[in-house]
Amino acid sequence: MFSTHKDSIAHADDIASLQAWKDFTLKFWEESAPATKEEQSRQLFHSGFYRSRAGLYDLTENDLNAFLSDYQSLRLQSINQKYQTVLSDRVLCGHVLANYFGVEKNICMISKNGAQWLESPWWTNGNTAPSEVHVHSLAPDSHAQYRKIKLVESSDSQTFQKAFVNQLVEEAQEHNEALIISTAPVQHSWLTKVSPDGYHLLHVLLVREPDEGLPEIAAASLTVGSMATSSNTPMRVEEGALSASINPQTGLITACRGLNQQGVIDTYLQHPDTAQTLVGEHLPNWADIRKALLRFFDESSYLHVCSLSFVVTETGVSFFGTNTDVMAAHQMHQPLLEHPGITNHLNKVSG
Amino acid sequence: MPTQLVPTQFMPTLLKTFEWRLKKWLGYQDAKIRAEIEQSGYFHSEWYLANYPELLNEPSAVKDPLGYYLSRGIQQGHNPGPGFHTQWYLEEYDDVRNASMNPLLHYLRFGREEDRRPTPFLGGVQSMMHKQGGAKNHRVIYKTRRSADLSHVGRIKRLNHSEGVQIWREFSHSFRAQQGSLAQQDAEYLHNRGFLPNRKRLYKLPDTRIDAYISDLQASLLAQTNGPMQPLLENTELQWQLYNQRIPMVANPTVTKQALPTGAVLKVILIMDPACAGLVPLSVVATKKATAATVGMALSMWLSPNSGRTRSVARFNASGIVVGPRKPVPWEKYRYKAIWQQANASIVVPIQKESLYSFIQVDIDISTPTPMLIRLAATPTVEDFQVHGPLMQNQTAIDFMREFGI
Repeated sequence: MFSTHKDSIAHADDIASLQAWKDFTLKFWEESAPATKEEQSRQLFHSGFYRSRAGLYDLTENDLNAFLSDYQSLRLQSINQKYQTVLSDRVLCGHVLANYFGVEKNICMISKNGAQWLESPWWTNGNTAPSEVHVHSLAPDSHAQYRKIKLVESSDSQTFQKAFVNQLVEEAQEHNEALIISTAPVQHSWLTKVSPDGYHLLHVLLVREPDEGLPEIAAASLTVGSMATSSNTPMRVEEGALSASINPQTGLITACRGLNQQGVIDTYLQHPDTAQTLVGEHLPNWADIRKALLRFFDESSYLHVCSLSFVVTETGVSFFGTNTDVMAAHQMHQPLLEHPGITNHLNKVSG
Repeated sequence: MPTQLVPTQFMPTLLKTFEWRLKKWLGYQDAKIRAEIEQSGYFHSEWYLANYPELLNEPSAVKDPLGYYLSRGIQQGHNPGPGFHTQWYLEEYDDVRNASMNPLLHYLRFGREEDRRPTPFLGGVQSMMHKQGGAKNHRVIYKTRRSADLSHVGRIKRLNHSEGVQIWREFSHSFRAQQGSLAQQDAEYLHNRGFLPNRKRLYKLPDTRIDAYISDLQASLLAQTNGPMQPLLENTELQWQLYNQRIPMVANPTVTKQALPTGAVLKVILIMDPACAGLVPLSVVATKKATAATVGMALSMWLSPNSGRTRSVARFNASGIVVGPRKPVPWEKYRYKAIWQQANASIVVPIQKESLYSFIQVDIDISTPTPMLIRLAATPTVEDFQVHGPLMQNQTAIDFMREFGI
């Protein structure tokens, strides 16, 4: 292990590392980042961090080398080797997770070749149309790209549904992508009360502890949106959403932080819009969620690191997607390199 | 000025039609053409009538489908069978379109050698099966042309791909370990074609049909056609997670700490049909393991995938001694019919519908009243099937091998 990020990047010359570096650099410039000083931006780039991390990790106070870099988080996936296929495929991953958690029903898969109905369309068997569906992209690592589509009452008609599906097919052809339509989960009422805007996703990072490979929850956090960040995609801490840190043992919300209008990290006890208390509350059904998470990871011995996002529902959680880009939400509270499981995995992948 | 009967732009077409009719009227090489097409295997009477049901009203077509195809079907753009797409072939190759020649004959006489494709479908399959990573797994082992030598000897000569050579090494080692007292000449014959020593007696080799048998080397290569989906087939834990909610499945031993069943097992090989872009059953057998009660002989019954009727019965042991294959006795004929139909509906069809794989073997436990999935495997246990005869005989299998070059 090299002492600084710069060293480890300079010595990364195997194909997997180079691939991760390529992905990182592409995303680095893609990110619409706050204005940072040129000197700091350069330092972040060479250490493998996105520009937004300067504010999120409060680098005026903290040392950059304590944090898991974005380059490293891309690199970390390769420890799952060929089984990463399972995580990067939304449908397969949904089948696996259905053994442990709620998973929304997939209705239809849409690719440039047309629609493939995974179950018979709702107009053929006389069922009423669902009031709301989700359209997710099937591209790996784009859990954040989804659309919520509300179907009005009169949309039971076959012609409307066909037009809707045909439009999606055209879209898929245009962008050369695959989409999947699934039913929409219903969020827990407490979270809707906290802020009515969109889903507040629970992100969980699972790793194996170094000695016996037992499953462990390395970090858990809840991303809470606000009116200022309201949009049709899930909230991201980079765009001003709040991140609430959850104690993996008890489910207690221990802290809540977020970027304010000035791009400076701020601490909150209540939600700024609704004044609902966050810190000190428990996440509903945490004991069951935790048990299911550990059981899933225990029975999936082919996986070593796994980062999942869920919607918290009345009965537990509903699978939302796999992700790699939510490490910032965890690290706003505590640097991940302090976790022995993660450093152990990193040492393995970077030799 | 005299009015023109036919606009000038239609004249060439008209002349060609006339030429065609004249040749036909003279009985020009008719019998020869028929024989050529029949032997090629590209014309399937049953498939033809099933795909163009309107022909069932035409007595001449029902009586002689090939004759109808030659005289009228081609003009109507009919396909002779799943392996050849008439309309596409004409659209793709301008010279054939202009040559006023039967496109299938063109393919058989020239196109094949010129490395032209008979159907666009496999290209379509690749993009349709986006889970297999597009065209990535296409011809994974060899960079071959469609006209490549697909005999076992040719296959081994071409084997230069790093994973392929690794598999060859493993094969070669296990051949050496099992060689025993095999004569030098036989050993050379089997080894250089990728067969393990006991296959000599099991398949009754040497045989002229040897290239239609799946060799043991080929069986390991075939696993690679599944591309990025192969990890799913290697890990039983993962298979259990993937399927137990949706398909009746035998409890996984690593998850539930129970032993696997040891009774009768139904084994099905599913192969991707290049013509219809989906998995089709290639062969179905019901097997029972060797026990002391059966004097160490395993039983294999070969079933028809369509009807489930037993077609032949064979007993064999590990050292390659075979009793049979023989015709089933009356009480064996329908023994597994009902259970195969049940297993097909509850297990095989859902797997077919997902179109994740290109070549798999599905093992189904049939010792209980409800058939239960045991596992999916990428490497087939070929001996259970091939004691009844070679596997790669039909058009689907041949096209599959051509397309994947395996």
